[in-house]
Amino acid sequence: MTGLLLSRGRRLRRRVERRLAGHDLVLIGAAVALAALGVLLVGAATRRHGVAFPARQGLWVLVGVGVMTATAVVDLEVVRRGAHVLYLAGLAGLLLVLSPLGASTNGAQAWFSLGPLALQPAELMKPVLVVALAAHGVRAGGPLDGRRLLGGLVLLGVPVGLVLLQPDLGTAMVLVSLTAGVVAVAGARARHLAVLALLGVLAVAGVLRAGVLAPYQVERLTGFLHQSHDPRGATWNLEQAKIAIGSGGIAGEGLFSGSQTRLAYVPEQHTDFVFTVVGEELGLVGGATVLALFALLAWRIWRVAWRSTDPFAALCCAGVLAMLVFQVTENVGMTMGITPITGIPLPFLSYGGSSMLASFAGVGLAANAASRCRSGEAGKARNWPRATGANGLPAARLVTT
Amino acid sequence: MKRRRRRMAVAGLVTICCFATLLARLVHLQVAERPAYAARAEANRLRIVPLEAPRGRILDRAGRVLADSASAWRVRLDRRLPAARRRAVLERLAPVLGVAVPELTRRVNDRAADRVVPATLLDEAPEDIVLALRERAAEFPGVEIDAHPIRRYPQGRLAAHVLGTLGGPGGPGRPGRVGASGVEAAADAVLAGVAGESRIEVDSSGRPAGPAGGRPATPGGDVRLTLDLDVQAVAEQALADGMAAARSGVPGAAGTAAPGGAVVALDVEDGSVPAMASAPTFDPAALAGRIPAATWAGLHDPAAHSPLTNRVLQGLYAPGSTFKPVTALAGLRAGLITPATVVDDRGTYRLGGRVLQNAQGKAHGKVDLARALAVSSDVYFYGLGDRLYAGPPDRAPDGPVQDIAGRLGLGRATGADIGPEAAGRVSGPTARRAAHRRSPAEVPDGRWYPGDNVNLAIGQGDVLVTPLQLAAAYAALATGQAPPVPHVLAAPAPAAGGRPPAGLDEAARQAVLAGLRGAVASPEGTAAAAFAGFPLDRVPVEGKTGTAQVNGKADTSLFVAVAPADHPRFVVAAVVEEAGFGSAVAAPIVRRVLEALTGISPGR
Repeated sequence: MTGLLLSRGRRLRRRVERRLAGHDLVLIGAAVALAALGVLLVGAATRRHGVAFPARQGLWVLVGVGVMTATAVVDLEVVRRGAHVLYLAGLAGLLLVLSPLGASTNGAQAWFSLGPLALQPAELMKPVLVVALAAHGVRAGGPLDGRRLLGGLVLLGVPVGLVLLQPDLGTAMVLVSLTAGVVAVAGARARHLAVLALLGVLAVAGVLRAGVLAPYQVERLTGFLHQSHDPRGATWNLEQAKIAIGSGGIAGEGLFSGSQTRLAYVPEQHTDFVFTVVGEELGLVGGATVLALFALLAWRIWRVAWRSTDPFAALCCAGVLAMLVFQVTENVGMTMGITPITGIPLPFLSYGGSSMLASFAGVGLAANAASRCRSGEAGKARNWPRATGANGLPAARLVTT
Repeated sequence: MKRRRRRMAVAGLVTICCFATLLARLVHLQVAERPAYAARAEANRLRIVPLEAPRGRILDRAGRVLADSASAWRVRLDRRLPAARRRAVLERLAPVLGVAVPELTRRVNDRAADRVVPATLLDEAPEDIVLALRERAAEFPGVEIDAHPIRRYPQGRLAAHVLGTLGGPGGPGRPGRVGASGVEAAADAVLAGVAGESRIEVDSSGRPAGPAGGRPATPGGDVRLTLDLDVQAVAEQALADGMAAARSGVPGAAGTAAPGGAVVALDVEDGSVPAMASAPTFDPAALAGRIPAATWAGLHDPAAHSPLTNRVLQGLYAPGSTFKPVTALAGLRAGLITPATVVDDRGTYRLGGRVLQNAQGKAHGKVDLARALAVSSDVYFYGLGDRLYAGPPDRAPDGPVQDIAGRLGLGRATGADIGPEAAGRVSGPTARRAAHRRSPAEVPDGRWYPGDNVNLAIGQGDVLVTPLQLAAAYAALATGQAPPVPHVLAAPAPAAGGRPPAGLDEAARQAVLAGLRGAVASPEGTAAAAFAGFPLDRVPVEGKTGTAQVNGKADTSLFVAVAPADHPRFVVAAVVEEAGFGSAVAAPIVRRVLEALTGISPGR
C-alpha cells in the first residue's frame, strides 16, 4: 500500500518533471509571484469595496497562467506562420471596439463588456504585434533594410492609429516601444533608427504644441516636469502617489495599514497607480523586491534572446522585453514623478484582465523560446532548420560561420 | 547574429539603466524625503475638530452666580452636502427654524470654514424645534443636533457691563468665543478653560472614516468678583430711578433727557468695587448666541445712546464743582488762602471785561473755605483760580492745580482690572502748548489764559474725568493715600502695608473734608436736601455736588460721597447726563447706594 503510494508519487513527480523540463522556471516563477502579489495589492487598494476586486483579479491570474501555459507549449513555428492571422484578428478587435459593440469608460471607447468582465483589445494587441513584427523581421532572412523597416512601421502604424482613435495614448506608446525593440534587434540600420527617433521626438513635440491633445492631457503628460504642490490642481494624482510612496519609508506601513491607501487618497490606485500600494504598505523593502522580480523577469527574457539561435524566438523575446521594460519604467516612474502620467498598467500587478493576459502571453512566448534553447541542446530540434531562414542552412552552421 | 547580440547588449544596458533609475528614485523618496511625505500623509489623514470648553462661572463676592455655562442645542448642517440637496434641505428647514432661506444659506456659506466642521444654523435651538427635527430626521439629511456650551445669566441684566461681552471665536485652538470686554475679557485666561479636540480620520473625499483619538475639553475656572449682588441691584435701580426722575422733572431738573448715567462704589482702602452700574444697559443673554441683525443694529443705534459702553470706565464728563476740592488744596498749597480766608460772595466775579456768575446767580455772602465748598460758591473759586494764574499766557508754568489733580489720579487711567478705560484729562499751560504743537488745526491757540485757570478752578473747560476716576480721587482725598487701583476681580491677597501717601498736606486735607461734610450735613449744604433723614450721626458723610455745563445740552449731574466720614470705607460717585443739578439727581442715587453699603436700608 505504502509502496504503491510511493511509486505513484514518484510517477507523478516524473511526469511533472518531464512537463517542466526545458522550461525556465525562474522566468515563470517570477511572473506568477508578481501576479500573486498583484492580487494582494489590488485587495489592499480596494479593501473598502470588499473582496470583489481581488477575487476577479485572482480569476484573471488563473486565466493568465492558462494563457501562459498555452503560449509556452505551442509550436513557435505555428505561431510564426499564423502571425498574420493573429495580427488581422487583433486589428478586427480594434475595429470592432470602435463600433457600437464596444463600451466606453472615462471617455475612451476601449472595452468589450462581457458581463462582469471587460476585455480590452488594445492590450491583447501588444503580444500579437510582437509576434507579427518578429515574423516580419525573420522573413527578410537578414538585417532589416529600409523597405522592410517601412513594412514593419506599417504593421505598427495601423494598430497605433486605431488605438489612438479610442483614444488610448498609453497603449499606443507601448506599441511603439515594443516595435522599436523588435526592429532594433532585427537589425535595422542605426541610421534608420536614428532618423525614426528624431521623427518621433518631433512628432511628440508637435502633438504637445499643436493642440491636438486636450489641455488636461498635456498638463498630465508634462506635469512631472514642473511639479507644483498645488494640493487640488492638475498634479493631485502625482502628489498623492508620491505621498503614499514617500511615507512608506524603508519597512512600509504594513499591508492594509497605509492611510493613503486605506482612505483612498490615490486615485486609480488599484489600476495604474498600484505601485503606490507597494510603496506605502511594503516600503522600500517591498518596492525593491517588486523591482527585483521585474528585473529578474527582464534578465531571463533577455538571456533567451541572447542565447536563442532561432531569430523568430529571439525577436519575440526582444519585443516582450521592450514591452515589459517600457511599461514598468513608465508606470513605476510615473508614480514617483519621473515620467509623464499616462494610462499604462503595471504588468501583472495592475487590476485588469486584458493587461494580465497580454503580460502572461508575453512571458509565455519567452518561456517557449527558452524551452527551445534548452530542448535544442537536448537534441529535439524538430523545426530547427526551417527556423533559420531562407537559405535553409542548419542552425549549427549559421552559428559557426 | 552578431548584430543581434550587439543590439541585445544595448537593450540589456538600457534595461539596467531603467531599473537603476527607478530604484534610485525609490530610495530617494522613501529614505531622504520620507519625513516630509509622512507628515503630508498625516495631514491628509487627520482632521482635528476642536471641542469647545464651557466657560467658567462668574460669581459675586458671596459666591452667587452672575454668569455660568449651560448646554444648548445647536443645529448644524453638513457642509459637504451637494448644492442641490442642500438647497432642498434648507427650504424644508426654514419654516421649522423660523429663519429665512437666504439667511440660512448665508450661515452655511463660509468659504474659510473647514468642510469637516458642520455649519451652525442655530446656536440655541428651543426644545420644540429640536423635537421636530428629531422626529422628522429623514426629511433633513445632513442636519445634526449637538449640545454645546453657551453663556447663561441667572441674574438677567444685572451687572451686564461688569460681566462684559464675548466676541468671536479665538481662532485655531480656541473654538469658543473669546471675552471682548469686562470681566469676560479681563479674566478670559481663567474663564476660557482648555479646548479639547477630537481627531477624526477622513478619506480623500472628506468623509469621516472613524475616530482617531483626541482629548476632552477642560472647563474654565470660576472667577469671583468684588461685586455685592445686593448693592449692585440697588445701584442699578437707583440709577434707573434717578434718570427717570430727571426725565419726569424733579425740582431743579425740569424734564431733561437724561439719556445715560453711571454710578460706582469703591472701597477706599483696597479699591475693590462692590457695585458698578452704567445706563442704558443691555441684556447679555441676547448677545450670548448668534446675535440677530436687528438686535445688533438696535444696540448701535444713536438713539439707544451706546448701551454697550460702560460709562463708569469710559464716560468722560466735566467734573464741575466736584473738582473744587482740587482747587482748594492747590490754593492752600500755594499759600494763597488759609481755611479761614473769607471772601465776600456777591454772586458775580469780574474777570477782565467779563462778568462770571454763581449758579442761579445766587449770592452767598461771606464765605470761608468750608462754607465755599458746602454751598459751592463759584465766586470763591473764580477768585482762587484767578490768583493761582501765573502768566504770561505763552510761558505760563503748570501750577499746583495740575499737581494736586495728578496726585489724586485725575487725567490718567486708574488701571482698573476691567476695561476698556478712558484716561480723561486735566489740562494746564504745558498740556495746552503740547496739544497745540501736536495739532495746530485742532488747538489753534497754544496759550493758557487767566480765563482758562478760572474755568478749571470750578471743573469746567479743559478737564474731563470718568466716574471711576472721580471715585478714586475722592478715596485718595478721604484717606490721604494714593488713589486705590479699582478692581472687580476678587484679589487673591490684599497688598500688604497699604498704599503710599498721596502727598497732600494733612491740615489742608482736613480743611477740605470739613467743607465736604458741611455740603451734606449743614442745612445750607448743597446735598442737605438729598440726605434729609439720613442718619448722619451714625454714618457721617462727606460729599460734593457737581453741576457741569455742557455746550448745547442740559447740565451733567454729579455727586461724590465718602462714608463713614470719621472712618472712611466707601466712596460712591454718580453721574447722570443731561439731568440738571447734582444735588437733585445724582445725590439721591449716591445716598441709596450708601444706604445699601452701610446697611442702613436692606439691600433689595
